[in-house]
Formats: sequence, C-alpha cells, structure tokens
Amino acid sequence: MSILVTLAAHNEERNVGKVVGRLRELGYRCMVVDDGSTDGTVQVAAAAGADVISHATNLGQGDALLTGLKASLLDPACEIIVEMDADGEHDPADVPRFIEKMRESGADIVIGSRILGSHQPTASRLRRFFLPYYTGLINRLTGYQMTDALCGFRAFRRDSIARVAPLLNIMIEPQYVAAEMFIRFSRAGLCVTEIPIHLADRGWGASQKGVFRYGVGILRAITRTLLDPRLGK
Amino acid sequence: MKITAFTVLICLFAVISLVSLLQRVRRDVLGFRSALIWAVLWLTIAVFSVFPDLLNELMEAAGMENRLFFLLVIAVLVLSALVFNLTSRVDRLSRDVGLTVRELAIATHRIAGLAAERRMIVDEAPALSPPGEGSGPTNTE
Repeated sequence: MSILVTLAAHNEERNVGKVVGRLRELGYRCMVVDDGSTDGTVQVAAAAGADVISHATNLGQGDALLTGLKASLLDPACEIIVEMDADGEHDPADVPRFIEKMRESGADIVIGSRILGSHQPTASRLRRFFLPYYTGLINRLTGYQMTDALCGFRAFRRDSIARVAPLLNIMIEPQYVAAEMFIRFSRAGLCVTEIPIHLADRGWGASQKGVFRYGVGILRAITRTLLDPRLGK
Repeated sequence: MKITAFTVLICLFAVISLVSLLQRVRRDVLGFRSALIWAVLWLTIAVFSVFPDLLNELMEAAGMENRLFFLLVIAVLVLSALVFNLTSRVDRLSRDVGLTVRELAIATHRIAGLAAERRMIVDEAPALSPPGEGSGPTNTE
C-alpha cells in the first residue's frame, strides 16, 4: 500500500529534518508543504529526503494542509495520505497504526485523539478546557463520534478525498480548516474513526496559535460554513 | 445659489478629484465601478455647496431639524456603505490570493517534477550525433 505523509511547516528548520528523517527510516514518502518560511526549512526538509512544495507567502497551517491534500491527489500511486505536524509533537511511529485502523474499519478518515491518548503537553489549560466543547459542537453538526476533532494527525483514503476534491477549493476559512472540513465531508458522506495518540514535546519553538484567536476563528469558520449555500444537506 | 469662497474651494477640490479619478481610470489604476462611486460622491458635495438650499429641502423632507445632524447621518451612512463594500472585497481578495498561492505552489512543484523527469530521460538516452555528422545513435562501445 502506497502511503504519502504530508507535513505543513512554517519556520521549522530545527524540527522538520528529524521528523522527515524518522519517516524516511520507516519507509514512508514525505511531502513537506513549506508555508512561506524565512529560515532554512525548505533546504533541511529536502536534504532529509522530502519532496518540498513551497507557498510564495505565509498563508497559515490550514492552507498548507489543503495544498498537501491537493498535491497528494495528483500522485496516482498514493493510496493513503497522512497529515501530521512538522514540529515533532506527532510521533512518526504512530503512522502504521493509522494505516491499520483504516484497513480494519474501512473508514475514509482516521483522526488521532489526544483525549484517548495523552493531552498536549505544550497546549495551555484554556485550550485543553475548550477542546471537548468544540469537538462536541462539531459532533452535533456532523453526526461523527469524535473525541478530538481538532487534532492535526490524520489519515485520509485518497480515493475518498478525490471524490470530494472540489470541496478543497471552496473552504471559506482555511486557517481553521478542521471544523469546516469535517462539516463538509460529513455532508459528502465520508466516514471518520479515531485512534489514541500520544504527543511528545515539540523539539524547538512554540505553537503559533493564540488561544483566543484560534477559538474565535473556529467558531467563525463553523458559522460561515453553515451559512454557505454550497454546503450540502 | 450663493457663491462664497468656501463654495469655490469645494468646487475646485471636486474638479481636481474628478480629474484625478479620470486619470486613474485611464491608467487602469482604479476600476470603473469605484471611480463612479467617488465621482457621484464628489459631484453631490459640489452640488450641495453651490445650492445649499437643496440640503434644507432634503432635511425637511427627511423630517430632521438640525442641519449638522442631518449631514452627520448622511456621512455615516455613506462611509458605512463604502467600508462594507471594501471589507467584503478585501475578504474575497484574500481568499482568491490564498487559492492562487496554493495552486501556484502545486503547479510549480509539478513543473519542477516534469523538468527533473525530462532531464533524467535525456541523461539516460543514447547520445545523438550532431546534424550533418552521420546518422543514428552513437555507439558508445
């Protein structure tokens, strides 16, 4: 089974090389979407053996993830697309568990759960406090039974994503793509399941997501998606 | 009609603004729709400065007694409409820019991949003799 791991990276020269190196050791092909980095992220990722796609300017993690998904669809050999963070918080050794779960369950998307596994050590208490409420809201709107809808460690079945590919171009708030993506994908009939994941400390640097801004952004993304006339029933 | 120094000043300013608008439209710096909005705005200001009684009639028709308050309400309404128009345009533009940057990144990546494939094919193909110096592939043995 051909697997492509995509990583969105912005100024992650200190972490991305280790993550890509580990994935390559495990035998996975890697695609790093450089989101307008101003450091040596591109060079480090390429030297570690990743295929690199570069945004001309910084758009945000959600946009980079969408670019990764769209670019993966152009690879006819790819059967499963795995998305994970380039900062070292997600363990590359978990990738086979995602593949196994996808094979077992037949789901279109497998998402990692920090609630079932371990909490994010670097995330603030406020963010951890709000996570179940956001997930509950997304579950109500989608009918999914997730415990952590906002986790960035996910696996997608390529055929399923190819089927709903036009949706990738109409995301209204790509910066907060998780919520919008699940709402749209649920209307398109995609199935989601989850597995527990354990997070490590990020190798270097700090998360660039402000708690308040991120929280408001997700609510805005949900509202705008629900108001979008292109959203199916 | 009452011509004062203020009226002349406003009219002069309106004319300069209209000329500037026209030049910007001709240089394709400003869209026709935006130019039209600003032209109407400046012409309205010029007309009201030349015929101030018109403002009084409008004020009475609107049921207002304070001229300053009436002007303030009109100004707030016009500015709100303009800002709303601008924010919705900026929103649409930023979404278009995001989509374009994403598509450009993928296209550039594909072109680089195709170029690398082509280089590989050229490198692996047997060397050809230059035109006029025999035909067929050169035997490297």
